[in-house]
Amino acid sequence: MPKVVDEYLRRMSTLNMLFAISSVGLLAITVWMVYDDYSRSWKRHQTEFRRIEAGIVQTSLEAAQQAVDGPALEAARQDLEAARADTREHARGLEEAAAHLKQIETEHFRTDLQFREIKSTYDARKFEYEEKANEGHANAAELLTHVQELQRRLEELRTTLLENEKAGAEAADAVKAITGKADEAAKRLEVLNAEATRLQGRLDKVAPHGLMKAALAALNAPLMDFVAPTYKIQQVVLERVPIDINFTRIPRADRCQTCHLASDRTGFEDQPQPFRTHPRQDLFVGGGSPHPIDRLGCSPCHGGRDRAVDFVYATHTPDNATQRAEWKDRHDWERDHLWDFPMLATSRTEASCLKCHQGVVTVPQAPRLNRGLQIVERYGCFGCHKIRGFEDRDKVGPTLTRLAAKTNPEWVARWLSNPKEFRPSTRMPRFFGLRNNQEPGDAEREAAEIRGIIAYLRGRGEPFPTPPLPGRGDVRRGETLVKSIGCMGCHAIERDEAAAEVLQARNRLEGPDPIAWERRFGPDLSHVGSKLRPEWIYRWVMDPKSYDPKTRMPSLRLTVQEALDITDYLMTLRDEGAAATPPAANPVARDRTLLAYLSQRMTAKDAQAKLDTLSDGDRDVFLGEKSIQRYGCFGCHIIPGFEKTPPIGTELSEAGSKHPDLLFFGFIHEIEHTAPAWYFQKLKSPRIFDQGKVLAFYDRLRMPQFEFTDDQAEAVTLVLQGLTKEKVPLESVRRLSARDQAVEAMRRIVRDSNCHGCHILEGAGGAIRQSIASTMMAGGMSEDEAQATAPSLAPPILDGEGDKVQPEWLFHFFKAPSPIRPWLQVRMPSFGFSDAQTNLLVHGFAARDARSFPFQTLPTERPREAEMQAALTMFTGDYFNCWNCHQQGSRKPQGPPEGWAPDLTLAHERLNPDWIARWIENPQKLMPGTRMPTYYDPEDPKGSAPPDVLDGDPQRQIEALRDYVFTLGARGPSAPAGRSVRPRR
Amino acid sequence: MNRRTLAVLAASLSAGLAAGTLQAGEIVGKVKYAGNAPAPAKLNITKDQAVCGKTPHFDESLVVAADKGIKNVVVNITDPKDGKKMTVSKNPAVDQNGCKFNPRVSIVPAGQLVDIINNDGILHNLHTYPKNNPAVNKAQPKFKKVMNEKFDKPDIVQIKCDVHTWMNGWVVVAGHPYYALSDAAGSFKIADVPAGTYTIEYWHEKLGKQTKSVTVPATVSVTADLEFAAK
Repeated sequence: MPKVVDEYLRRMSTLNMLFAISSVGLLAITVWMVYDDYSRSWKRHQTEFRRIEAGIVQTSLEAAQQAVDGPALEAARQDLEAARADTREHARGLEEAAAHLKQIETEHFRTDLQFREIKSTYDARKFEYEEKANEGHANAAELLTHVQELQRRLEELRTTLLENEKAGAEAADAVKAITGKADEAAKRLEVLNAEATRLQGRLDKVAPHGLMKAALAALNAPLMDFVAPTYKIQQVVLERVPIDINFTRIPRADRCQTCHLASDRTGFEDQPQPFRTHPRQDLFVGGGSPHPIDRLGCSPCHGGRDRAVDFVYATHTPDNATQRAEWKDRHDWERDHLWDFPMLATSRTEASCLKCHQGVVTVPQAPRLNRGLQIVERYGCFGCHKIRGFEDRDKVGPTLTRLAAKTNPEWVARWLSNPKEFRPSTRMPRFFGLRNNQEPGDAEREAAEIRGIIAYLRGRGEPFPTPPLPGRGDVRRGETLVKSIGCMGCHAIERDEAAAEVLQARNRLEGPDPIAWERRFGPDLSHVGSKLRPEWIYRWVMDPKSYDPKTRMPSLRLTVQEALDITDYLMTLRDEGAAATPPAANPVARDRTLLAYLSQRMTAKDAQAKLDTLSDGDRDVFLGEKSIQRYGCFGCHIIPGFEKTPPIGTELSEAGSKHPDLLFFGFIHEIEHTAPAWYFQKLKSPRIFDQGKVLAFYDRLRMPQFEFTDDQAEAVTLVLQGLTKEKVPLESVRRLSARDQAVEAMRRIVRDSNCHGCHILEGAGGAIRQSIASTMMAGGMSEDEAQATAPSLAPPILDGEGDKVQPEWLFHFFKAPSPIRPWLQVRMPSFGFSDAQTNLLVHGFAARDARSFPFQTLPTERPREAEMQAALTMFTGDYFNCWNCHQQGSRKPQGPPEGWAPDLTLAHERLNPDWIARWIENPQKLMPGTRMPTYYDPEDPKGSAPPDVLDGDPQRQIEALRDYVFTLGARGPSAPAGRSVRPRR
Repeated sequence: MNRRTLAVLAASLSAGLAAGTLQAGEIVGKVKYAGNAPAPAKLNITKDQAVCGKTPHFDESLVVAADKGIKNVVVNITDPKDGKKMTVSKNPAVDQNGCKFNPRVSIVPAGQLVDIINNDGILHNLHTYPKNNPAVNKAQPKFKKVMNEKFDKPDIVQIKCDVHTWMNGWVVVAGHPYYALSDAAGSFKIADVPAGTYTIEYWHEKLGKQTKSVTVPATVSVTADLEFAAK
């Protein structure tokens, strides 16, 4: 037997086995691939949502069925039954009538067809004839006959058609006469059931059954779902708010609604996420809201990966540890470090408002963000850190060029070493004795630095003459003045106003500040007597701008005696607690520090040589200069020699886009590795990131300790998160109209002048009422009564001011305030606004109330005799008795000034005439709580008007009063003011 | 067995016999001031002397009798067991006569029209400081002798006149009939109270509000003596 040579190089059986295994494997992998592609979390969400939706529709369907008027439904049903029975009785007649109708309809259709056919022939022939006739063709006449014949037949057919139509209508009426009742009953039934039917339709769509369900299941089946699945990714493409991916701006494609299916639908408010209705449909998502989803999507505000349809991949960010744990459990959540725009935690979404809402004083509907902006504004973060939107702002601290005239070096030393020790409410942060300067020698160095700073400020400062006081004041009078004329709108004397425990809790950051934020505009006065020189106080309160031209402290137009009283009172507000001792001179520590500074730029030998050239005093000043330079004091204060020095901090304009990897966490591992966590930590404990590091003193962190509460630090973090480098195209940014801009300009001045300390405007402010009430309570009044009385002694509410007063008057009032309300002790200060600022203010108030600015027509005509007499009558004691309370030039009303009302002789130059009319009509509507009583009952003006004046017509009476008021005072030909005439009987 | 027990026994017996008849008792008592009240200060009349200055005015915000009884205390139960409403035969009236509110404290049913009368013939205004009702400030010139005012919700409303700042009054708006006002001797009586245990509340414009628990037996009266600490 010849040897059989195998024609294969491999053993077939092994290969067969291999192929068998790999094909099984391939099949398994294919199945797995299909499964993996099919099984997506968003499909589960959509299935779940269908179920929830079906449940909700089912519930409302049942409710709708319940709500249907049972008896009415039953009656309609019975009517239908009866009508149908009736119809059956007349079955024969109906059959005939229906057959007749059908016959007519057939006839009509046939005739109509014929008509159309002949009409087309007619049109063609007619055109042919017209052509031939124009050419003068021979057979034109023949054609004309033909056309006329056609026309005749058409006319015949048209008549038949009209007759048919008439017969058809009659036949239909005959049918309707028999079936009409049944149809009507059916219709009624339908109307009653309309809502239920609609919901049933919805339900059938949401939760199909039977064949439809099977068909949908097939459409959504694996491998089949490429055709037309009902489970689909939902996305909005946002051309107008692109996203910057590695230097390329591409449209966003927000797919959030793939899972957040009810975000734009009401009725799902109580469902679990992701099926909940967006909580602010009025502001976001909805088509009628200012931020509709089809224009602005979700991710421009919320952040996150726009295209993601997976929980983790979308970069959801938990709000707190509990939520994080829950998410880890439910979604295997982890932080995605590879996406530059992580979603903001729900409670931090407000930060995004800042991307578009810039150049406004307050961002509408964003309270926490506004709080953050206020803090940045007041604490002056922009002094050291450049921040977009905060350029060109005044420094927040007082000018230090003339410090020697104001206070003494002992106090400055005490203040510098720990400002909050002297004044716990101060915004000045602490620079010395902090955690990263606790090594041996640090305390001595810092003491030398403080001495140096004091020496520098004294040595480089300029003189400010404070002549001796021109007399003596009275402490009690001074106290009354300080607490009544308006100082308390911006300042507080917290030791008189709040319980010690409350203040201590606040100092420990465990309780809120008992004093309103507006009254923290100026410093707390509790201990100013230990700080200030009386001569300086006197000059300062008399004319603040003479000491510091940039100060925001206004003048209250004090008399010499008032200023003396206030000076003496303020000098009694002393802090006897800690005695102020300036740090002792320590030349060794000072020189060592100076050498360290000098050695940065030169050899140790040269540094020593340079030091040797300086006198003892010069060394102090030199260390002061170096220290001011390093700590950046000039960020907040004007300091001679540092007028142009650039700020020392990191720019924060794009802090919100900063990746956490660019932030130095050092050896602090306890906090989350995110930018907001880092910012919060930095704000709470600015120097913590030096922990565990070996650094020369000049390389250590320098940011001072503000002692922010958690709320404050959170709010500032929110602002930082909002300052992103994302560029929103102009077309999507909120743009202000000219009127809005005028209002914003006014709001800026209102903010910078702290008008809210005294006045209520746009839902904020009026903080001085707190002080007025507590002063009255100190005088023995009950809390309820004090709270009720305070508003009538507080400065006026400014909402509607633009509507109320003439722009010209307002301009002059800002420039030189004069008292309007004789019962008020509080004074409108002189702010020293420039013409430009004053115009902005006046324009802003007018714009806010949609008034024309600046010019307007005022009535100059004297009212006619009848109206004049009527007004004079109504002014008398038997009628409105206006002069009982209103001042009339130099003629004062009876009783104490608390009961008086504004001088009506000023009205013609102050008030808008139409406002006067509306005011007389219903003062409570314009100023709720005013003491001006309502003469005309808003519900029955005619019934409450004096019946015997001007025919009892309230409108004419009000106009007469207004016109008369306008004649009072100096303008034009005026009536004898207040002439009393005998009332008409 | 004393008379009182007998009476209670008789009452419960008759109740058992005539099942369904309402059993009602009454709460009587006196409100006293624990301490010495200062003599009412004389008020300074600064305006409209011809009308307002005819008789001297005194601060009547706290009037205490010789035996310490306090006038103008409103005593009411807070938790009535029935849904009865207070009824009156005619509109209660607050009269402004000689530039004071008369009576100083009135109890009026919720929703009832109140006649505000101006007998002075000069300008007054009615300025209310309510907690649960809308505030009003209505002028009442001479030609408007009577105005009507209505308070829809139970409340304690201070009324003032801004023209004459010393004028002070109170309108207590009652949601049910179980209210009483103490007289000059400090005595009060709440009649026809269905038997049961109640919280009674007593309020005075200057001394505030206090509560006490009281059990009302059927048909007889219970004595509740109340006291305000000196202020």
